[in-house]
Amino acid sequence: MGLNSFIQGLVKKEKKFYPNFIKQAEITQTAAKALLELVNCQEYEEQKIIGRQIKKCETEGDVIQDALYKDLYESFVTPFDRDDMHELASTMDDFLDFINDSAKRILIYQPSKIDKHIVEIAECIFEDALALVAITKDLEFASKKHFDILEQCSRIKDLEHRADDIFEDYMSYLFTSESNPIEIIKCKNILQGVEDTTDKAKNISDLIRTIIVKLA
Amino acid sequence: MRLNEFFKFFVAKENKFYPNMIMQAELAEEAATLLVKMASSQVEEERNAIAHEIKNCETKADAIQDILEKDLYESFITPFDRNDMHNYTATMDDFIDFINDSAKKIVIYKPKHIDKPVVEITECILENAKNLVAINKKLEFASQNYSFLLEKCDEIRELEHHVDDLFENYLNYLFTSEPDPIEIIKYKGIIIGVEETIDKAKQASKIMRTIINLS
Repeated sequence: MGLNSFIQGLVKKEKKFYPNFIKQAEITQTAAKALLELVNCQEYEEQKIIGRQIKKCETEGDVIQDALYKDLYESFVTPFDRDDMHELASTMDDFLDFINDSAKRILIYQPSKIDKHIVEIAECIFEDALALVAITKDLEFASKKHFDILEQCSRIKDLEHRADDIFEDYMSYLFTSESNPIEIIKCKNILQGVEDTTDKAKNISDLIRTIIVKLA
Repeated sequence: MRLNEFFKFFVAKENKFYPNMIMQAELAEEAATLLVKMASSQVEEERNAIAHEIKNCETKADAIQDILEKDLYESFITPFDRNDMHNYTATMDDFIDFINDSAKKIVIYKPKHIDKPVVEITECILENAKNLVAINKKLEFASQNYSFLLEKCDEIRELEHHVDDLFENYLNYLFTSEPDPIEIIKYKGIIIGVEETIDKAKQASKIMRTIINLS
């Protein structure tokens, strides 16, 4: 590890990675925004159209992830630890995949209504995506902007805690107020989908934190 | 790696990890004791109060996990392989998180009653937490306690297998005897919670096996 950093100091760092990380985050933001529209929409036909848009984002995200892996494989020197870079591309992709999964669940289950708790968690997901765009934009200047990055990381952590609280409230609410077991199954699974998505965002922020610590 | 081994001859092994690892396991034991108490209680208010105490254990454990991670990052030499240590303490932390999750599930679902198999599984969780405490206490002297450590790892695995059986029987029972689908969802959610918790203990014991075999 020490030797590696020493060599990296001597060689000009590769900058081609950053634009792709930013692009990955921006696609995620588009998908998260569409998810927010989806949960606010009550028309099944309209929901299906939005679902397709999200799916398209997910495909684009896969293409960028492939490009990132290829660059990583071909580069002699990486701006930070190679494993961490791989992990970052992969957890970012997971987050996007889970947004797509959440959308799919709504289309599959076709719940009779989407409760406000789900909308609130979708808002958290959108804010997570905004924070990720900010982080990836600052990443190239991590040594100067490391406070900004860490602040965005704790924002993501707070959002995840908020989503946890909403999750608990909604589950309690479901099991005390909803009498139709089939609706319970539907709502519970949709809820689990969006909650898992915020967990994925937190995985990214944990990783970024590690990366920042190593760069310090 | 080999170079690392070479250096280890010259530098005394770091001892600061052990007290924190023991503390981590003891918090798991404390949380598990509370979980047994919670599963045995049939009064909702009492259960909610205990869940709160479990949450406290989880928060304390998070703080210890942070210190362990920081120590690992800052230490030039670690007593065992750095990655194994990281995985082990992270899995221990997961174990405590899952105990907390199990408690949360009971609070959320508000089941009408808690069946005996659930209580039995929480007792197994407690046994395994105790086994992990015993392991962590002997870890500093791993070379002299090789067979003791392996024995404890075996015990953890055996208990996990026992829980698997309990889990299957209970699910079977639920889907043949419980007529109310909402109650089925609740009991299933709760039993999955405790079953996943004991899996984490087994995962920790697996990593421990690697650690002692390589040390």
